[in-house]
Parts: sequence; structure tokens; C-alpha cells
Amino acid sequence: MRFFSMCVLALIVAAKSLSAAEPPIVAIATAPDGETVLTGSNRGVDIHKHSDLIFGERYDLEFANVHDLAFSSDGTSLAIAGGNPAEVGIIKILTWPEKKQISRLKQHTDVVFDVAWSSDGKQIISGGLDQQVLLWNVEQGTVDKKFIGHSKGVTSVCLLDQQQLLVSAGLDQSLRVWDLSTGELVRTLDNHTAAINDLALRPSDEGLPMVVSCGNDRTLRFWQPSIGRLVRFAQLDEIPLAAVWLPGKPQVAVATTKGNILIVDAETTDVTSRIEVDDERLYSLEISNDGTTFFAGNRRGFLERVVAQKEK
Amino acid sequence: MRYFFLLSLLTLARADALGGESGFVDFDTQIVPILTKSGCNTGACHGAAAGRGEFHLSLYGGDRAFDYHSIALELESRRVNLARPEQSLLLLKATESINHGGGPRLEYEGADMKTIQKWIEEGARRHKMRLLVDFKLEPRQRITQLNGEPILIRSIAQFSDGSTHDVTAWTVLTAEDPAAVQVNSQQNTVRVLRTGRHIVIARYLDRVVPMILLVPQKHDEIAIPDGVNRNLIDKHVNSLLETLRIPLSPQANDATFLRRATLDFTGRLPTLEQVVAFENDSRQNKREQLIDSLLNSEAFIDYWTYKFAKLLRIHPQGQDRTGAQAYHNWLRTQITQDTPYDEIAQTLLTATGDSHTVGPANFYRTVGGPREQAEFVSELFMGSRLRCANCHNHPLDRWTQDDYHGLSAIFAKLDRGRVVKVIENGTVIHLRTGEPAVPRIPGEQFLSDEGDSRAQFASWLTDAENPFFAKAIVNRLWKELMGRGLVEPTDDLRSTNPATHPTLLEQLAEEFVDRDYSLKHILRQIATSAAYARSASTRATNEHDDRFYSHAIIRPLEPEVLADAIADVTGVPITYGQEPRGTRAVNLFDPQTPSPELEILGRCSREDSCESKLSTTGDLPRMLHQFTGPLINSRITNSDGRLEKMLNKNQKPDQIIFEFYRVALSRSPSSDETQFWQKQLTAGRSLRERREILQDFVWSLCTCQEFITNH
Repeated sequence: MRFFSMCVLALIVAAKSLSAAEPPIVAIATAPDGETVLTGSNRGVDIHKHSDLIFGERYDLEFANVHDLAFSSDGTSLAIAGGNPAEVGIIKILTWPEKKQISRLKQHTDVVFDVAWSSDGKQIISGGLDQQVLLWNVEQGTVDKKFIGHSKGVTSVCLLDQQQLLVSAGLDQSLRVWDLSTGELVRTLDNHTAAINDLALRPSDEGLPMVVSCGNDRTLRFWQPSIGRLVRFAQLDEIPLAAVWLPGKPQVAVATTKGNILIVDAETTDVTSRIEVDDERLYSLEISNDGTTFFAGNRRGFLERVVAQKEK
Repeated sequence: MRYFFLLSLLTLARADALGGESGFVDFDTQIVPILTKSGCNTGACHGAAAGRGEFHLSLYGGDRAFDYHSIALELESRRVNLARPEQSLLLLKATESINHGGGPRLEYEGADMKTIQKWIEEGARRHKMRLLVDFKLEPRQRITQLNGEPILIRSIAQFSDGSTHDVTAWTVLTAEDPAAVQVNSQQNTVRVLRTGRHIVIARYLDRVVPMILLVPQKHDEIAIPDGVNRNLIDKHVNSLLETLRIPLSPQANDATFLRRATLDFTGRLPTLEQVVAFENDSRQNKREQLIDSLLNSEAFIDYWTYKFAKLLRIHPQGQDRTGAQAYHNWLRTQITQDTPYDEIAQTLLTATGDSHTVGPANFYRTVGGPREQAEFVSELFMGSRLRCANCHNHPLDRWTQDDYHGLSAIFAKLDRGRVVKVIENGTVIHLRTGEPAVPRIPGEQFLSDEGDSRAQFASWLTDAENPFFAKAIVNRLWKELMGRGLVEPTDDLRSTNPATHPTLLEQLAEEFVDRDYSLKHILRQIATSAAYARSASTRATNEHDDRFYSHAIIRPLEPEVLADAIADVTGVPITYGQEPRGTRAVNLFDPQTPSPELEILGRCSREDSCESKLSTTGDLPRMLHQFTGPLINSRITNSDGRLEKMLNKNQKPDQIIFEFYRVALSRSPSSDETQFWQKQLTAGRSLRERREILQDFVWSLCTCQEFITNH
């Protein structure tokens, strides 16, 4: 494991005073311009400059919790997902960078934990703690399909556009693969032995699509959901909460409850790097579009940045 | 292009939460008690094994780390809102500001809500600022009046930071018998609705402390008769009876005492000769002499081997009876020699070897695996139900999941095949951590994971200072003779289930240790007390007493004892499988030996605990079988039976009635009884009819309550 451990640059977002209680940063998104990082928390959505993490502005919300931020693939729309716990789940769709509201999707009865855009940007999938997975028509603000089957809250969703499949996962320890066109359950993948915290789809057009799931059972599991195959799994020493694929590499980065970012080789399942970022759990993780920088949000409201240095 | 990742974060000096910030609300000692007092973490609510509404708390706050995770960390901290604390889901639900299945649990803007809100405002942290070191109730015991004034129970907590607080408002009071004690949880008062002795359990954090309420009967003070203060047992038993104003029943007559003691020590009815001899014995101390002679009899060894075989659950493994036979033989030797009980326990706990030749090795083949072994050992030798701590910390006792899985781990490194041996590998997965459990002496210390740690456990268990070992067996012996344990159930000794006579139990346990763990010594002590010798006849003022020993408790005969008694009275033995004719049921080492008679009478298979309470009347099949089946009827009419032999010898009906009464009930018939049967016989017009009347007579003896019970 080779990386520099010296601190070079940082900004701690919203640490206004030593005794103030900052809410955890539970969602991060990097804007398509490569210059902006967005974070979501109980305070709303904060917008920072990428280069130095300088706080730019806050986008206030009418609901209490933000659990996910997602840009459409063309970068012109931003989805803010969350809601009021045990009451309502809301997805706000804004234009980017104007931040004008396109629609407000409100049908979940508990917070929306995760959203995923279709590649054409016309539909969005949402998974909520009300156990529902919904397919929305963004422009009309209507629900096109409901995917009912999870027995507990849904924590993550991802879309396999080409295969017309949807994968959802949640607290019931299962991944469920759905037919996007019919809404029918194709298969259930239930190898996890505890709740699933996150899914991440490998950004590659080659071969069968691969999804990684992060479980409270301290495993990362690599799946080929279109054929229902568990390809392999990595047993970790800590619980992975969020995952991102490294662009162009068979590697996954995961943020953990122990405040580390682990780089896991998807082919060997070896942990190739352990970056000790914090002593608090990291709820959210994002990687810059060029793959050189991680952004991690911790439970004390700190946004932390890990910069990749070119190998000498 | 390859990149290394460079950590860039500001190492800003963060708040030293513990140093100099004592004004913080402490999650462990302030928030959790509020949740407990509000009922949030009970088994019916979020403390259920699977939680409720996808919100899971540890039962009664037994695991604060788990609770903190559930409340402050789980699901991206959805239950606490640090930006707008008053909007936290935790508060909205608890005050029912939004729909809550459990209704409102906290008063909106009440003190407890404000405490939780302040904790969230401070960042919803877990500082672990202090530990609870002591929890006391005032008063611990109170003698009170029926329907008297409510009694305020104050509770005081002492913490590791040296502070002491009145935590009455966050103490949960629960009456052991809600029909007898009314608890006002808002006022923290109790009011007693029934006479007797009652327990109220006070809970604060993980401590549970009993309060004892004594309510005397309404009538005047009672007088303790002369001659019923024979030893320390009588001192304690009589003292409590005096306090509760429960009058004593008189001492049992000689015939009753003879039958009771003989059944208790030998599992047999006194023989005709013994009845006559005891009647004619004029010595002052003839009862003590009887006890001594019974203790030294061969029948005592048979019967108490049978009793301990049930306790140790000796039974064959499938078709393999050899091990059970070896185990039984070994046990018999220990009973014969009155081997100190600590030695017996040590031998069992550390046993290895071929179970066909090394009897004690079968101890590890009796139950399934290490978890079952831990449960068995804790119940057998500690009188404690550790099994409750498998899934969660014991809600009413000191045992934690670490204790349960740790004790299981002590028994994990064993090969339990025919040859019981220690193996290098063998683990038990801790249910909470998902990791292999570390061997642990319950409530004490973790042990090395290397090697066999059974000897360390056995040494701790049988130490003279061990708070469980001696009490557990003394309590069992007490129950065997007195019909009810000082602590009931006998495998549930804990502070919240106190003994009816706690000092007596302690002193008997001390005496047991001082007398080299002699089982016989304690049995003798109990049997020579006036309490043991009390009549089972009740008075109007003590008939409801079922635990203070104002009268003897009537007990059903165990199935094997009853079967032997029927055989003895009728004179026709019962045949058990391939065993030789004349084999007594209590001598069967194998509880699966074929016997429809014993099945009907409800014998214990010994595959699990045999401590379920036997009914004094028996269940319906047993009663029907006794009344109409061949068990008794065929023996009455058997030509080799006692009745037929007496009739064939032309013995007079009076003689027959007299002898049967003595053999079955160890007493002579009363004049009323004699007259009744004479009248019946007079009505018989032929020899055949009179024979049938006598058969009816024997049948009625063998089915009456007096016969099928020890009283």
C-alpha cells in the first residue's frame, strides 16, 4: 500500500464552532463541470468549489433529510432525494446549474434513500424506506411503475438501461432484479446476511453489467444481475457504507464505518489500499469525474478530500 | 496512469467532549433511562428481538452501544436531526407529533423530551462520561398493611464520576404479582392489595433490584408452639410466619412422618414391619433415628441415584446404552460414598475419555453442543438461566451475551463422540458480534482462548466463595424434601427472584460448604427440623400458604415411585422391558426402558430438564388409566397378588383391610373407615361378592389422593 500520508489541503465544511452540532453529510455529487461538489445533509444542499472545497452557497429545502444527490447523464438536471422520516419521501428535480425546479416527485411515504437516472434523462428510479421502488416520468412528475416486493426499506437502486433491468437492495438483505418494462420481479439475490447499504454499477459497456453491493455483514459482493450470478465477494474487517467504481479500473472504493476508504480489487477481492481518512464513520463517497479525487462525508458534517498523486 | 491517493483533511483541534464539558447530556446514563421509563425498549416494543417498525433497541437498554447506533447512526442518522433537533424523528415519534404505533411516550415539551432535545443539540454524541456503580432502593423491605398508604420507593444511583443522583423518576417499578401490588409509575409508589410477601422489581439502566413487601394477615399475632424451634431452619421459617401472622399446623403424627420420610429418602412406602416397628418405638428421638437409618440404607442409594440421574439427564445416546450404564454406575458410587458435591461437579466438568468406561465423560454427551452445555451447566450447578442471554443481555439478571457465549466457548473445544476429548479448534459464534466468542467465566473474567479452560471454570464454580454453587444445590435438596424451593423455580436464582427465606438459604449453603459439601448432611438438617415434620392438614388461616411452610406441602409421587408403590401394595411387580422380574422402577438407568405403565404415569425421558411440576392429581389419561386400566386392576386380581394370597389363606376381611391400610397408607384405618368397609362387606351375599368388594377396597386405596401423594 503506497500513498502519501501528509496533509496538504483541506476544508472542513460548516464547522462553524467547536461545540456546534453539524449534521452528517450523507450525500455527495460532483457536478459535470468538474468544478463543483455538492453535499447533502439536514441543512439542505451545500455547494462547494471543487479545488479548495470553499463553501459557495446553500440550497435550502422544505424537507428535513437529504439522502441522495444525482446528476442526469447529460449534467443538465440534478435530483435531490430525501424527505421527512416516516412521513413523506420527496425528489426535487432542478435544472443545473440554474437550480430551477423542474418537478417535485412526491409519492413515497418515507424518505427516498437513493435515486438513479435513466440514460436519456427522462426517467428516474427511486428507492425509499417505505419499501417501494418507483419509476418516475420526470417531466410529467408521474409514477410510471411501482416495483413492490421488498419487505423492508430500500436503500439503493441502479439501472441497467441496456438490459432494461433495475436492481434494488435494502434492509431485507436482498438484491432484487426487476424487469423495467413489465415491472415484474426477475430474481432475488439473497446471499447477504445483513442489511445492504449501497449498490454501485460498474461504468463499463463491456461484458455483462456488474454491480457491487455493500452489506452490514461486512462483505462486498460482486454480481452479474442480468444472469443472477454472484461472481465473488470480499470479506472486510469493517462495514462498507458507500461504494464507487474507479473510472476505467476493476476497482471499487468503499467508505466504511471506521472512517476509512478501502480500495478493493474487483477481480481478486484484495484490499489494495486502506486510506485512513477519519475516525468517524463515512456515510457518503464520491469520486471526481477524472478519477483523481475522492470526496467523503462523515457523520460530524466534515467533507473530506483525498487527492490522488501520480505515481513517480 | 496510476495514482496514489493523498489524504487531505484539516486536523482541526476538535472539541474534547469529555474534558471540561461535563454539562453534556450523557447518552448512557440519561437518555437510555428515559427510553426505558417510557417503555420504548420493552419486549413488546422496540426491545423485541427483531425490533418494531424497523427500529430496534436492546431489551431494557442492556446494550447502550447498540442503542446508540440505532438512534444516532443507523440509516444515515435519520432519527436525529442535528440541524433542527426538535424535528428529529426520535422526538416526533415519542411525542406522537407524527403517527406512532406505540402512542405518545413522552410529554411534549416535558422534561424528558427537553433532555433528549438538548442531547441532540449537543451533537447526539456518546461520551461515555460515567458508569453506574451502584443502585439502591429506599426502602429495600417494608412491612406494611393491606390497602395501606402508598409507599414511595426512592432510588439512588451512584456513578463512577463520584456523583450520586436521585433517579426515582427514571426507575421502572414492576410488581411480580400485579394482582397483589399496585404500582403507580408516575408517582413511583406501590400499594399492596393482598397479604403475604410480595416482590417489586426496580430497574434503572442494567440494574434490577428487588423490594420486598410483607403484609401480615389481619388477625392477631400468632403464638409459636413449644418444640418447633429445633434448628436454624425453624428459626428462620417461624420468624417469617410470625411476621406474616400465619399460624402453624401441628406436627404430623408418627405414621405420617414415617411415610413421608421413607418416601423422601428411599422412594418407597414403609413396609409393614417398618410401620409396626416405628409404632412400637418409644424412644424420644425415634424420628432422628429413622432419618439416620434411612440415610444409611441401600434404598437411599437407589432412590437418590435416580434423583440425580434425572438431574443429570442420564439417558442413552440413540441405541448406545453402554455409556448411560457407565454414567449411572459412577453416579451410584458417588451417592454411596456421599462424595462431596464439589468433587462431583469438578469431575463432571473436567471429564474426558471413553464414555463406555468413564462414566462422567457422558456429561458432555447429554446435551447437544456447547451452547446447550452452557445452559445445562448454568442451570444445574449455578441455578441460573443463562440461556436468556443468548440473544440479549438477561433482562432480569446480571448475565450478558458475553457471559452466555463466553461460557459456551469454554465447552466448545470438545469432541463429543464416544470418546470425549479436547480438540484444538472449536468455537462458538457470539450472536451480537458475529465473531468467535472468547471463553469467559460468567460475570467474572475472560479466559485465554488457548487450550482447555474447563478446569478454570470448575475451580471458580466450586470455590467456597462462589455465590451460586452451594445455594443452587441446597435449594434443590430443600425442594425435594419440602415440596417447594426457597427459590422457585430452582434453576432461576437471581437477585430479582429472591428466596422466601434468604438468610436461611445463605446459612444452609455456608453449612453445606463447611460440612465438606455433604449432601446427606443437608438432607438430615432439613429432615430433622420441625418445619419438615409439620402436618399437611391446614387451618382456615394458613390454607392459602403455599410457600412459607406453615404446613407440609402435599406432593405427587414421582411416576417411578408410584409404580413401585403400586407393585408393593398389590404384591405384583411390574416388568420393565428385558430387565429381571422384580426390578424396581427407580433402579432403571435407562428412561427409555419399555414400560407402558411408566409412560402412562408420565415418566421423564431425561432428554431435557425433568423439573416440570407434577400435578398431585395427574392428567386425564393417567387418571383414566389408573381407574380403569390394567396397571392396578390386573394386579388386584392377580393370583400371586397380596389380596388373592390373603383370601386364599382365608384371612378375615378385617385383617385384610387393616394390612392394606398399613401397607398403602402406613396407618391403621380409622373407625369410620373400618365401619364403612364392614358395612359394605356385610351387604355382600356371597363369597364372590365379598371378594369383589375387597377388590374394590384395594382399588380405592390405590387410587386415592392419600396414596398417590406424599403428604
